[in-house]
Amino acid sequence: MKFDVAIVGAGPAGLTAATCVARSGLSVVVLDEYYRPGGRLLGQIYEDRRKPAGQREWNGQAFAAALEAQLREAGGRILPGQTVWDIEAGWTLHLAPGPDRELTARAVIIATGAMERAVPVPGWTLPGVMTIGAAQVLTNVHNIAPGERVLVVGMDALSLSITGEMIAAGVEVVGVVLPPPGAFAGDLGVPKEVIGELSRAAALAPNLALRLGGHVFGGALRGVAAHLARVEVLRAWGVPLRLRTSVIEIIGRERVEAAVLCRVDASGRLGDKSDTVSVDAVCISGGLSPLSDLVRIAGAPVVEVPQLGGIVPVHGPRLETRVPGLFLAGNVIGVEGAAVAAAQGSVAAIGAMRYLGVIQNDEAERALAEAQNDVVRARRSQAFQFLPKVEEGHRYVDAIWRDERPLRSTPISFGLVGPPALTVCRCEGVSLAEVLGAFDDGATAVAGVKKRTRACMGRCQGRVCEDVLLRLALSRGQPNLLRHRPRVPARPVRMSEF
Amino acid sequence: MLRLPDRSARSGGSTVHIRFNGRELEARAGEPIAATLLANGIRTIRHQLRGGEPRGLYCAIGHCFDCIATVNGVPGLRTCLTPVADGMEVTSADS
Repeated sequence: MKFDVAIVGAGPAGLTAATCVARSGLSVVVLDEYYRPGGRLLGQIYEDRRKPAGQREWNGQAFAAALEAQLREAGGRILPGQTVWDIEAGWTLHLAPGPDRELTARAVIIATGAMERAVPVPGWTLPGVMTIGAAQVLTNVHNIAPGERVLVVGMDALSLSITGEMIAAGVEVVGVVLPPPGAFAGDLGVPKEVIGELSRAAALAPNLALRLGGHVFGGALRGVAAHLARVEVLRAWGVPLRLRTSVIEIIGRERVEAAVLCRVDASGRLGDKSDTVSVDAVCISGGLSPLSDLVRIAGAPVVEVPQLGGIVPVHGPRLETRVPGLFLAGNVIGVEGAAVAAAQGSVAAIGAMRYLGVIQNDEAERALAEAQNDVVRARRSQAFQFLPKVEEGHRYVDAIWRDERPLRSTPISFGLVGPPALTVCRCEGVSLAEVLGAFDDGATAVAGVKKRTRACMGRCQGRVCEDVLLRLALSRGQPNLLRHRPRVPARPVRMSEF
Repeated sequence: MLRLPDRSARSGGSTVHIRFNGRELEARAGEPIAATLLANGIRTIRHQLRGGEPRGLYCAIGHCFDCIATVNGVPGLRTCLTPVADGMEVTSADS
């Protein structure tokens, strides 16, 4: 199969980019691992009360269907259920399971989105423990409750939004608590930081505050921030938001049976009083982080930008990378909402069209300027911003692109990490003690930890635990731990699929 | 019962059957295997070879590979990404 442009990821960014490319007369294909196009739009259902009556429901599935129809109308192809496991410059994309095992393209746009950051908690490998995003997919896409009695861990705008969605769907959520304080959770485990962040989110996004229940947000939270020492619990939709409680262990034999909760002070120090709550599902929210593995395999450099959610590929104003012909769009360059991702799709498409010579200088510059303005407009009008300093993060990446700023990283200092037996790498079952042993043995890069322990060597290829290892290294005063190099195949494939 | 009422009536509602480790399960056409398993109260999809820990659905979107199983003889498929089909045979792979 030969295309002018191949796009990886059928979310709002990839589908929009594809339509833009297809309308110019180029051939385009969109690939996605999921069996339905739409990406994370599929799980998004909520009410936007700022909109006029009748237009308030934000239905991600309907938006995804419209984007898909628009692309088909423009003559683009979608290949769902296909995993891209290698990208070679030039460009050849290797796919599984096929039937076509590879395709070639003259330009590639990577729109792989973001993934959830893991927060290891003792017992987090038990069946019944899942990410908050998994809870959203189960509830909103498949109409299945994550459990009979659900505990949400992590108090942020995304987890509270999804808690509200679960309640609306009839799921019993017994409470929202904080993750264990320490290196893995960072600020998410410290009550005063959590309250500050929620107040900020509520102030910036009145709509979000309404969605989350006006009795909790708005002015109330600021009061809480000032009187945190006295406020223990807020309620939203009848669910207790336990501001001063951390989960310290999830217990069960074959599956989750209960969670052990412990008091935590405003600064994130655990008390000695604990209690146990009976639950069958625990949904952990650790924030989102750009998913850049394929970009790294394709050879483009990346940089750590906390304001954008983690490791992002270095890119320029046309969303081009340092590798000619490789473009980016959507959450892979920073965690934001669907409307921003879609607008970025147009920018990347124009970048690719200009690279392929389909549009020339003046026309390209005009179209580009317009698309870039759309990104800014979308960013400023979105119902809520996941990360408060996204614009600052993008300015930083711009400066790196222009070689005006040295790479830096931000050290964090959280001493406490967890018990020695805590599983850090889920795939290979590597414990915290083993990883710390590798650091003590002199590992200075993720690759060194990987060679000594097998962490990052499993099926997920380090997508889940690389970030955990980086946070662990930061907590030990090794802020410059070198990231590992994602290897081919980016996802496990059978020998027969090679 | 973990199935929730379908608020958008988008599923069409047709029913198919799959087998998991020999047990027949009712599934909704169009949903992934992992959803069917959970709806039928099955959380443990496999056990880790190292240590024998039970594992189930974790990320639900194909990133983590915790939910893999053997499907119609093909090992290592992510049950969260693989839609059900009538008569499908799913077995736990200790891996």
